[in-house]
Amino acid sequence: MSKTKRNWLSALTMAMVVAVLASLMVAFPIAAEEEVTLRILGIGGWTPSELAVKMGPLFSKYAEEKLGYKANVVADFAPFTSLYEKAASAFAAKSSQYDIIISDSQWLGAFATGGHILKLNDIIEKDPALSKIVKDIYPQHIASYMTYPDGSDEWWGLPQEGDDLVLYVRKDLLNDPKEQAAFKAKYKIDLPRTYEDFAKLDWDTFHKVIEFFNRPPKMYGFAGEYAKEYDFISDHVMSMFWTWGGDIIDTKTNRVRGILNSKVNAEALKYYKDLLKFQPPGAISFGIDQVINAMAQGQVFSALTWAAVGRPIFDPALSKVHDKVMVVMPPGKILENGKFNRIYCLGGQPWVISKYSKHQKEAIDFLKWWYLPETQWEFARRGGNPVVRSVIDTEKFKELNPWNRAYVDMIPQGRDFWHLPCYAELLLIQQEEWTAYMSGATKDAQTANDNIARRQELVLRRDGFLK
Amino acid sequence: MQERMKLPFLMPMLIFLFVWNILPLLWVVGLSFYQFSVLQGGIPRFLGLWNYISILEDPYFWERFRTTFSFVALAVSLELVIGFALGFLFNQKFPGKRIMLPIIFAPMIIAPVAAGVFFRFIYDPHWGVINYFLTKFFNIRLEFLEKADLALPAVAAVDIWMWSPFMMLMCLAGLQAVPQHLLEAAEIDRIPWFMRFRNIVLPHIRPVLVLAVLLRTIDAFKTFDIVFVMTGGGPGAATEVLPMSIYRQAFLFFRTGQASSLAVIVLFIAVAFTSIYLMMIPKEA
Repeated sequence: MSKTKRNWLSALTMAMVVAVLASLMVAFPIAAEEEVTLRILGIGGWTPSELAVKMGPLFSKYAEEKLGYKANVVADFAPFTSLYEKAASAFAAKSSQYDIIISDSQWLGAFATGGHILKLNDIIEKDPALSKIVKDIYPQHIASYMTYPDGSDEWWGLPQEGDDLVLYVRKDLLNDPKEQAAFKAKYKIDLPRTYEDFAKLDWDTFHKVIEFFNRPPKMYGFAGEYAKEYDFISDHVMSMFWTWGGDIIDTKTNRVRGILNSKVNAEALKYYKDLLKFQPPGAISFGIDQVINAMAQGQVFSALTWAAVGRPIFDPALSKVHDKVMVVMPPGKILENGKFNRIYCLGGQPWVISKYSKHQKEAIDFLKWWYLPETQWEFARRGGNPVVRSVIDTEKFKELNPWNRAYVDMIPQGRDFWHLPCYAELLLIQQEEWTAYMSGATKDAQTANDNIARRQELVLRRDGFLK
Repeated sequence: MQERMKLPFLMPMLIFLFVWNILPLLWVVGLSFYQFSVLQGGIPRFLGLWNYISILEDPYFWERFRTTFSFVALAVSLELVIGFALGFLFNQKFPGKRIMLPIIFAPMIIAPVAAGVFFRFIYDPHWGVINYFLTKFFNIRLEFLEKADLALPAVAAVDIWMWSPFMMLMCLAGLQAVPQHLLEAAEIDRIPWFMRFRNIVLPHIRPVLVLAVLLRTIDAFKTFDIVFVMTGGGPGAATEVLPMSIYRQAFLFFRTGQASSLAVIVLFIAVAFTSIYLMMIPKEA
């Protein structure tokens, strides 16, 4: 056999061996080597989102032991302010890049109407474990994190974490006998000291408290969110409206005029602006980070922000006041009819399953694992806010983290806002008009609210939501 | 032979230009006549000129246009004045000139996002360096980015800090081209400095200056990063420039058709400015 022939024969044999091996691999995939990689898009720098991924190895272990497959959880993060565009861009491209997306509750409408996320009703109804979980969730959380359209029973997401606005106060100052005596001498009332005192505290009294502890430049009385970024000012202003007895929209007709620009809302908005005089310079641009920082550095006596971000305030490595802070429910308002009213914005996020995911079954397995009591407890131990009532309604949970009691007690007094597909436009209008008012560009509260009502109705009419 | 070879050599660049510039531009212009959301999908609905009409009838568009125009006018005019002054200074011989030049040019090589973040800290009302000195020496504290009347000049100041060296560079290049013998002759004839400047220097550097102003105007018109990082367009809409609006329409509201029409309008404005500037350049230049 000539050398050339030999070479040809060798090449042909090699090619046949490769072809046979390749076809065998296609026909009989090696099951043991299969590993499902679940990809989650979450909020960067946001503990509850990060915990979902940090707890991934626990799911891997669970999947291998109980579900019979290997799974791996990886994440991609984007800051709050750009998460929506990242998620929406992936959906617009019909990308299978993410299996689960930690969304914000207001985005459900946009994602659901675009057909980008799985509708969960059938899945939940057919799965006894999931049905049991949903029955164990607060109705406020179901309405906020799962439902679109509002008031319907169409479910598109499940709560990844719950959250609400709580008040962080300096308990060392409140318990100082000298401060108590000075406060009593000045205002003829007792300084609130305990969680229970704050549970019945109204804004009129709390105003006196923050005025009393406002000692610039060493310490200021209060810190709240006023920034134009994302929904920072809106969450706080809307909470004031609701607590003052106002509202932002008629959910049946989607009318805004006469509701958002009511007299009581103008009064609440002005009140929130007036609180700036008890806050550090530059408080107009305070978002979540700045409020936490002001509290953790001992710059303010009190801070109104989310329960989910409490951890740094109690971390000795980050906080000067880690052992001096108590978390309570924010003040309420005694309405004209004498009723004590306290309604604050719900935070937290749902997670949704991408319609383009190649691992939908595994994503559902992951969510079912997430709501197991042991997973929810582990989430709580690491600083997250679980949602399953059989966990959070226990005394053990309420004592686990300093913010847990206020978090749970505020859920029935929590409210979410529109889940409409045009939410981003409605939100930006509020952010623009309210920051314009806070910065002095708009002179009075009524004008700011009138502008919002007019502009929001234009958007709602254009998109066919105004009835 | 030479004539026949021109096209094959030009083709790669022409194809590149068509695929990367002309085609997307035509696509955007086409989309601007439709109602379409890339997020909601569905079939685009032809609206004719409706997107343009609704934008031009919207008072908020004109408010943003005024903001953008104020930003461009403030930034580019001060960059021109400062750059011009620095150009004249560095056209002279003085000790330390070689060390000073790279320091002056340094802001140009900083990423705008990084510069924006730096200046947010510098402007901070509580612990920013400017307010530290204002409080120490004058007992005043300014909320640069928090007050509606200060926010735009504060953002423009960053643009001026970054881009005045570019104006200086262009001015310096123009000054190097001024014939020395004319200046020497004028000096011998004891012609006053402003006459020398008007009749000898200015005609020679005018084309370069016009080009510099044109480039800076177009660039300032599409400023996004500094504003986005420093104020997010706020407070209120005090720093809401047109590129911010395009970004919001396209990637926040996902109103793709509307965003395309807004982008076309901004492009038209940029082209109009270019034409005006080009008319200002003498034909012989």
